[in-house]
Amino acid sequence: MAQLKNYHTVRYGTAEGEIKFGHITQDNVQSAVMLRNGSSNNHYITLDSSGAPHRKYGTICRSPGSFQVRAGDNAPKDQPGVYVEAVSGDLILRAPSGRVRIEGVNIDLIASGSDGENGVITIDSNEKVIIKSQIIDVNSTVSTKIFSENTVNMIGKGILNMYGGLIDAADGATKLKGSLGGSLNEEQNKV
Amino acid sequence: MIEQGLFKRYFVGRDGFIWWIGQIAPESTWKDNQPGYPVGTNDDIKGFGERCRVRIMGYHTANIDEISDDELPWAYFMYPVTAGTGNRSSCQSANISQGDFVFGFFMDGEDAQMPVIMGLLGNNEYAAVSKNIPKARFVPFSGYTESDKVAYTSLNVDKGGEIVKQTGAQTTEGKTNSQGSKTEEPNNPTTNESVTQSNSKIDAASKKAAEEQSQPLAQPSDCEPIPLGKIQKDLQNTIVEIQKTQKSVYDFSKAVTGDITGGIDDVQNFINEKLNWAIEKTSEGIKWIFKQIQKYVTDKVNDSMKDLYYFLFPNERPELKKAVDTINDLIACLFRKFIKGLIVQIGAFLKDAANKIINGAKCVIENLVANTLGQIIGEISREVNNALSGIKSLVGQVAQVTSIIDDVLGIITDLLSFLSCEEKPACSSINEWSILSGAKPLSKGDIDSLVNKAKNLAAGVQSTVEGIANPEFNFDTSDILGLDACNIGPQLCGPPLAEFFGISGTGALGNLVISTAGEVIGIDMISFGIGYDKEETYGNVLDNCGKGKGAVIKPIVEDYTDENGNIQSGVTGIDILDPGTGYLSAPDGSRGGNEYTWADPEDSIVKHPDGSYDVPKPPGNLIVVNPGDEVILPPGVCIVTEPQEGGQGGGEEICGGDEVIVTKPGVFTSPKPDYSRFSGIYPSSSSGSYPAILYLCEINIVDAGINYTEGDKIVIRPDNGASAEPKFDQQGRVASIKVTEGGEGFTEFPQLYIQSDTGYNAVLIPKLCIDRVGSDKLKEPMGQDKVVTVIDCVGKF
Repeated sequence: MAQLKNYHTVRYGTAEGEIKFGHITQDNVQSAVMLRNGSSNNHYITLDSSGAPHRKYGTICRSPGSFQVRAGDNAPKDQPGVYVEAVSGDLILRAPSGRVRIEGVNIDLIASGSDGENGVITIDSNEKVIIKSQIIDVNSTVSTKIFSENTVNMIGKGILNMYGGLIDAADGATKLKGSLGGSLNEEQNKV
Repeated sequence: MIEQGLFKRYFVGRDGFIWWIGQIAPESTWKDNQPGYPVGTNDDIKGFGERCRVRIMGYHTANIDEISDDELPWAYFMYPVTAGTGNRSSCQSANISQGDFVFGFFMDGEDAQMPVIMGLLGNNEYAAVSKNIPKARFVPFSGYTESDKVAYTSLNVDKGGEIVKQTGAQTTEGKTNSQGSKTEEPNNPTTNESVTQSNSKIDAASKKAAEEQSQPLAQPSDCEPIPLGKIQKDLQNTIVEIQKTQKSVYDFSKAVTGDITGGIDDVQNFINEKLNWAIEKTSEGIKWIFKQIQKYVTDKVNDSMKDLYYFLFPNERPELKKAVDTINDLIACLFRKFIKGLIVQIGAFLKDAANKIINGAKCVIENLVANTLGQIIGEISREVNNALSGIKSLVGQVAQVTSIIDDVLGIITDLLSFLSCEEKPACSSINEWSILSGAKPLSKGDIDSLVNKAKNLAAGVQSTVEGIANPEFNFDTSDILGLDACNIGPQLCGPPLAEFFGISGTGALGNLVISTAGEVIGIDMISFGIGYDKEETYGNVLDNCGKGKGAVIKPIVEDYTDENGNIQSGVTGIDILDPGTGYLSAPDGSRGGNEYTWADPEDSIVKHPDGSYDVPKPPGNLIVVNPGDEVILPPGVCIVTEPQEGGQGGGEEICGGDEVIVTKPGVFTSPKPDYSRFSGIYPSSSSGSYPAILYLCEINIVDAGINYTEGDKIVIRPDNGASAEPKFDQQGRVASIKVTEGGEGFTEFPQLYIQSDTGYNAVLIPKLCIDRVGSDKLKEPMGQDKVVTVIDCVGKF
């Protein structure tokens, strides 16, 4: 059982390329259909019919050259030009040696988790995050924080408006001896 | 004949049916019948449809002097009814190449000028197909012309195999030059031109496609503050690619599946390219760690500053602010300097280490990161404390940051959460992915061990460079490979290990049971572990040499009572969804690591005193050794070295199977193993094994099928005395299966199906359970053939 066998594999092909029905791969998976390039070692499309859960009834498109999708020339405004959906599981886009570019008239990033651990959008970079626009709105329901281990600069070259229902401010000097009245900020910065 | 000539009707079918066998002439004589590319008008098309020249046995001689290829008749093709004629855009092109043996009939009867090709006689794997066109025809020759590129789907990965050369008719007369030899050099060792192609033999494209490496997936730094696993995996992948490329110089199968298109220079260029990529990825990963350290150091320094603010009057604080700004700038600049120096030093380290790390890339990277961290922390502590001493003039006392080293990784805790009810964002449990084998657990490294190593190194750096400026800051990477007992040498390949991973849980260990056919057929759990999640726990079969493929296991997580009486959630067993193939049941003499077989059992291995390894050499290659080199030859052979050029050394005997330190310079040819002088399991310090008996304990329903009826039976092959009864629902789907007899003595994964007159498509998977065998059972006459040997791998491979 372990070594898959198929006595009915059918191949159509030339030196340039081939299509096979029932190909047994070298990692012991049966491809219902395999389409591949004869002049490249790693250029194929398979529709697999056995193997690990992600392989069985899965599709692999592998190409050393670019993989390109251009579609939607006739799609009306109310329909997507390209639709990609991971019905279950993650959608992973990687470019470990390149740049990920997303371009559109508008760009929406929506995280819709059902509990406190999910519904999170994380932007994590090891150098810099740059946000530039005519208008930047940061709007939260519960809490907004801007934090730096080093310096926070807030500059309004024309006007800087700061408003708080109650304003609480403290600097590091209050660490040893608190100000009159004290504040939550003081307490947090004494830690 | 005369009769036919006199009464010939010149009407197809009325003058008899004359069929023939022939061979398609070299394509240079007929290819221009078609333009070879889409043209604008018919004027550029010389011929009429698909035609070629054919040399017909009995009508044309094999001697091209008597009838040259250019003089052969044009043959038309007959298409099957499924192909179409072109009408209504229905068509299917002929697939005919030079050298093909074809058969057909003459439309003009005995005139034999209008042959029609009806069909082809395909090559088989045994037929010797000449690479070049022989002078004498009617023997198989290649469809590829000399300038054609052979398809990777036709390239063999193994050169061996019997072929049958066709000698042709022998003549007593002397041959003319044009008759030539009936046979030329066959292309069979490299090229498969049989009609079954890759259906029957492994081709280069298929082998290459199965060698896809798994890739590390990045996680947000909240989920993985120290991306050790990612750096480790990138380095491991690079090392394996380099080793494969190096081996391709000696190994045909690696050469045809490799990425090298040029010669030996290309090998070095490829290695440099890969190393540069690894340097970039390692530096990227370490930069993430620097970011965390920088955050922590800045926090520590600014926190120590707060102690001073109180002592100053408000009008004096601007000066202190300037000083604090300066120190913060200094920290930022220091890290810039470190990152700049890092790429150069890591580059030098990896270039040196590439030929030394055959196994244990994870350990090496842990050491590299600990070493780097230790040196940075030491350097920063010194620089920052020096800078802080400058503040004394302002406040009258010296600020001191003493605990950077002690709390070197206090960075893990982020301060951003001000709300007590705030939850930490969920992290993905999948951080390594292969398009072929799917998810794997990516090691997050031993952070505690790393921190301890870094602390020790930091203290050392600080004390040795006290007060000495190090403006360029060069990382010392000289001792990383020897820093800790990293087992970086090649390991004997053996059975695979079961890995269990998910959002929680630790400590589950088991020995996989491997059949002699290389399938995973069961597991003997040594420890169930604790804290495993019942929904999000996954299993993986890890083969440290990458020999086996395709096994898929699913852990069974259940509550159990531990020895202290506590209820724990652990991995109590596995369901085998696919037993895979190619796994070793015991060491076979091959060596490797990092999920790659670095050396085959017949290879000779040389390790130099500096710890670097030569590429393992298959038999028949010249090997030069010098005193101090460590040599491992295949088992069962002994060689005596010859002197090197200039007559130095030689005369030293080296025997195979174990490491031998060479004492004299010498040269020898890598020998073939002699298995006749060697039997049993390959000698190994880690081959502790014990006998076990497997029985059928459960049958899992993967697909319930349809339309089965009561009375349908489950067939188990081989059954070893096991039996089971199914129950079906109203639609004839398998609802449940009861194992009525477990049998015993399964040594392979049994095949299960339901024998039925009505039902289809049920897919059932057996679950084999294990009985450890006492010595008394082994003494029974029929006991031995029922026993499988389980290698105790836990903690050894």
